Amino acid sequence: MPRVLIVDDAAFMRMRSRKLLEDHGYQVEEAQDGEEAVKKYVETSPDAVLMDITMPVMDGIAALKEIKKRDPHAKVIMCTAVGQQSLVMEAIMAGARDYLLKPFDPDKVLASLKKLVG
Amino acid sequence: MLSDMIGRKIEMSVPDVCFVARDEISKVAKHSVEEPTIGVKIGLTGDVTGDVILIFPRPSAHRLVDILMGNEPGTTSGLTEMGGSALCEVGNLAGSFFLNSLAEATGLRAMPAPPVLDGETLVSRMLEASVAPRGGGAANGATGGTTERRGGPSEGKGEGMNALVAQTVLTQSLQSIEALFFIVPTHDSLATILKALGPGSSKGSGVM
Repeated sequence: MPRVLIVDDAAFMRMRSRKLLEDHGYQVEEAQDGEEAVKKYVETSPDAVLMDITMPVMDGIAALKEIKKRDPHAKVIMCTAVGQQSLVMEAIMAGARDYLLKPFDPDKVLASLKKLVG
Repeated sequence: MLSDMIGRKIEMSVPDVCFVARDEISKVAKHSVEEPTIGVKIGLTGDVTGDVILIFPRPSAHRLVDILMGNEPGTTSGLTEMGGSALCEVGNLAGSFFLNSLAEATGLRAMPAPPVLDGETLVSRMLEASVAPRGGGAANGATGGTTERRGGPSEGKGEGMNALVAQTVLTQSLQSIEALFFIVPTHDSLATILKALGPGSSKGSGVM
């Protein structure tokens, strides 16, 4: 059962993502900001990360870079409402494997995860 | 955007959009200015600073939470942590979409700060805090140290400040939700936006 780390500061979004992923056979870990995400990533080595960008303490781009430093093969999918081109480029250059724009589209989230981890 | 968020169709109409001076805001917001409301504020950092504010009359906020959470209508009578988080996510989407459109039209890049929920406030007071000079009372920890100090003491508080106000009504079947959507750029940022959109600019027609 592939394990996915959901990173979002909004409890509402974590709840929705968890339900979606568990309904489709994924095991889920949660973090509510970038700093916690880096810590949880190191502790649990998930198969993939679903990462919000706008978060307190440490944003998702910074967390992506920290995780990539520790594991260059980390599979991180950005999932955010911010779709400015320069930010998308920054995320991809930093090693993000996909960039999904909110509002949350369950089919796109599942398709992206399936491609990365099955 | 909300339709996609909950997988059901929601219609949104915008009966009234206007660009107003700060001291005219209360007139635009009419009666809702004096009633307790639920507000979500998103600070902006980057090329453009200021706030995006979404304000709901309380009954509308409660109805929206019921829709987002998939509850029976009338379930929500007070704001739980999860309900507040759902409203914050709506604010986050609204603020981000504004910035995405702005970036597309002008090339200006700005990031939204995490939403702040204000569960018991008056519109007028919330806007007051938002247009106050930065570095003071504006509750926004994410402005990255770029304190706005333009104008000096001779420029009165909030003078010359402008806000874009959109009065929206969201409708899902028979449920209707009123909301006020404010974009309140700081003085400098307003000038930046207008310059980027101005006649000298090749882009930016009809950004708002």
